Amino acid sequence: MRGNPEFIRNLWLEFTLHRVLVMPAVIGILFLLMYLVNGQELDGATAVAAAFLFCAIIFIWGTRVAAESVIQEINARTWDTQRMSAMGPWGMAWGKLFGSTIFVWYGGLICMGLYWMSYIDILSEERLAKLILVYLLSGVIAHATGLLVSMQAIQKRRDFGRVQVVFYLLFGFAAAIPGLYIGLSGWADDGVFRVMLFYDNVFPLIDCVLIALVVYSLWALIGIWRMMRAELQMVNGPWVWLAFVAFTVAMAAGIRILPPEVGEAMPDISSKAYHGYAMLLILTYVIALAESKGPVLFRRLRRYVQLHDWGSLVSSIPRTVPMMILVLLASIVLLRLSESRFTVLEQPVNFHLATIATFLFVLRDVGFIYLLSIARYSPRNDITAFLYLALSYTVLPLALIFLGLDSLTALFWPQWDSGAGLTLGPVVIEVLIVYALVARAWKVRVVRDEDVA
Amino acid sequence: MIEVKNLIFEYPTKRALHDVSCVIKTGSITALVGPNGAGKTTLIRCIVGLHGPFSGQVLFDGVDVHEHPRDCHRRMAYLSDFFGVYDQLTVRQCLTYTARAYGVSGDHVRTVVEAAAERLQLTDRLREKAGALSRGLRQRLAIAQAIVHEPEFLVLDEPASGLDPEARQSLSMLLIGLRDAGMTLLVSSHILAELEGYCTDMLIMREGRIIDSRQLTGDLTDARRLRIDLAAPSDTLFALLEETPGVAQVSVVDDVATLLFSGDIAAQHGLLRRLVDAGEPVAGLREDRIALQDAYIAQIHEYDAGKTP
Repeated sequence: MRGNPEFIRNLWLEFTLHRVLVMPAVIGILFLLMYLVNGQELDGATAVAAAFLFCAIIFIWGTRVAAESVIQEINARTWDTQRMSAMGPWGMAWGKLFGSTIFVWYGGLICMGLYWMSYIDILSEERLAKLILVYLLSGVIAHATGLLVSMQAIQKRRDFGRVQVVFYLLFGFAAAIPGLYIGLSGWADDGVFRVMLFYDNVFPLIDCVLIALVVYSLWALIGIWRMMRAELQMVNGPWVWLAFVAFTVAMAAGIRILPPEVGEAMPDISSKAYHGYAMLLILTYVIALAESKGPVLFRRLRRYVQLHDWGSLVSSIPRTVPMMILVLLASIVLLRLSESRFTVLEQPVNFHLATIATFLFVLRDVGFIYLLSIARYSPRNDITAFLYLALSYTVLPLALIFLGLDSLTALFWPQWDSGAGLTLGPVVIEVLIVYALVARAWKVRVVRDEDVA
Repeated sequence: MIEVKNLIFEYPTKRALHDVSCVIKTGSITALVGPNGAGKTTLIRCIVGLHGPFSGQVLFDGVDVHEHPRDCHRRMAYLSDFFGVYDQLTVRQCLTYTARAYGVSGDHVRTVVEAAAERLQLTDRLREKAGALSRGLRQRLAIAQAIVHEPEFLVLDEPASGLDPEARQSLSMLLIGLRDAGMTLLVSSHILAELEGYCTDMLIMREGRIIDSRQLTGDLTDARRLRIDLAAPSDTLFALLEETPGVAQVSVVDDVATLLFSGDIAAQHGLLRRLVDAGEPVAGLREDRIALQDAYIAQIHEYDAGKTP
């Protein structure tokens, strides 16, 4: 840690004598106030106050600092100096993640010390240690996600304001809240262990959450490392992303989320496969919206094909392409595993048709996302695509249902109990239209523009 | 030192570099000039590996900068036209951080920091916060950061912008000093008169293309153009020069003669003595540097005329 210049620079910036003294003083005064209000007792109330201070410092302040750590370098025009240095992407990744937040952690650890003091006579040491670990690891996840999302955004734009930072901050919160919530409820006040089923085995919930938090903190750090590599003009192949997908899909498949009565009603399809498939679809949308894409990339890919440079093609191809291949393969597996029709909660399900329609909707949506990126240049293409898709899956079909035009919802989402014509017809037409537009945009913005240049 | 091969770079809305090729020789100070939007900054950022090209290569002593960026970055440095420094750190901390970031090992950090500070006349400012420095001093600090690891190749994008005349003069002297210390420099600037003072080579860019690449001065052992000023016109000078060893491309017009001369400084002294001994009315002899501004304007006009149907 002593040898990481980025970490040391952050130490110089963050740990001035004034700040080192002010942080414990402010926390101490606030905690003392709560202690006095609580009748000079250390108990659950003071522990909640310490936890509240921790959350304010770590999740709000810390996630903002982490998300801003590279953005501030760009705004201050010092980022190029770092990119030109000899620091490796790994050192820069952890140097930024833990260096930029070191002062925040200083405050957070003081809060956790007060939390420990408040609870030590009430809870067992093991339980208390695990609760504190949940807090700390959730903080790491929040910071890592905030930094990761901001670095992903840097691939697309170089101008940032407060709005963007708040946006990345929210991503950090979103990543941390599930672990924090489930972890803290993993050992409830009644002293009873909560358990979870993972691949049909019973595990203590809090232990599972702690392991998941550690593992996903590492994945987030790996993600930041990959982003740093991209910033340093190093080529990232698709393999790390695909490994993350495989891991996350396997995790999702092992967790029981569907209500038991629904899972049990799926006779020939494992609820595990269904969970994994759902996670694969989510990750496909995430990468399709998140990754950089545009005419320059496609011209470059076209050039690699012309040169038969397959290695460069594989390294540079958007991750969405292998993801769509995986979705296609997973859809085929689901079709093979399942019966064509069955009933869930007294509702008939035409599962084969619905699965095919689901694949076609994903194909349509990915085509739409790419259409916007190829057809016009704007750093807001992906957020625009996201908003259009969100509307098409929520407001529009719901409006049709309220108008009594239920069958028209086949235009907007997969039908579960209709015939082939209504389930597949509209989406097939949409796919054809979208990809005709993609082909047209490709000819104009990729092929013709390159020939003109 | 640097070899750019068929470099193409595209922004989402336009192609910024069109099949650019050029060479930057070891020990040179190369001026990169061209109008706004010509692609100078884009070319510089591709050369130092901050922009990945659409196609083409940048070789730094034979190593592909885009395939091995970190290896090359240890040996080169770049100062952007819009640079930043860490305002909250002291000058010493800024230099120490940069030295460590460039891989200078712990024992040598203090030595290189103090050497860079001394070279940029910042020794008495080491304890000051960077944010408290004037524009000129910040510029010096930024250059000190760029050279703290003693790079072999230094790239400066518009280094003189925003500097007062005294600071510009000081910058010129510094760049010459760095070249003399063994660095190769690439300098982009709009201020051609200043570049003329220290640049040895020039690349002219227009519309994403290198339209001219030339050497401005030669090594004293290379052929170089000399100008002889006469006190009065001479009818015998042309013949005398024509038969002098090492002289070529003689031109005598009124009271000015120009020639291409091959030979070292002693040979040049011999030429002058020969002319004086022959009774030629020599009033002065000097190297005829190619005027940067004239060469630039001429090339731009030639390029534009070539484009006109």
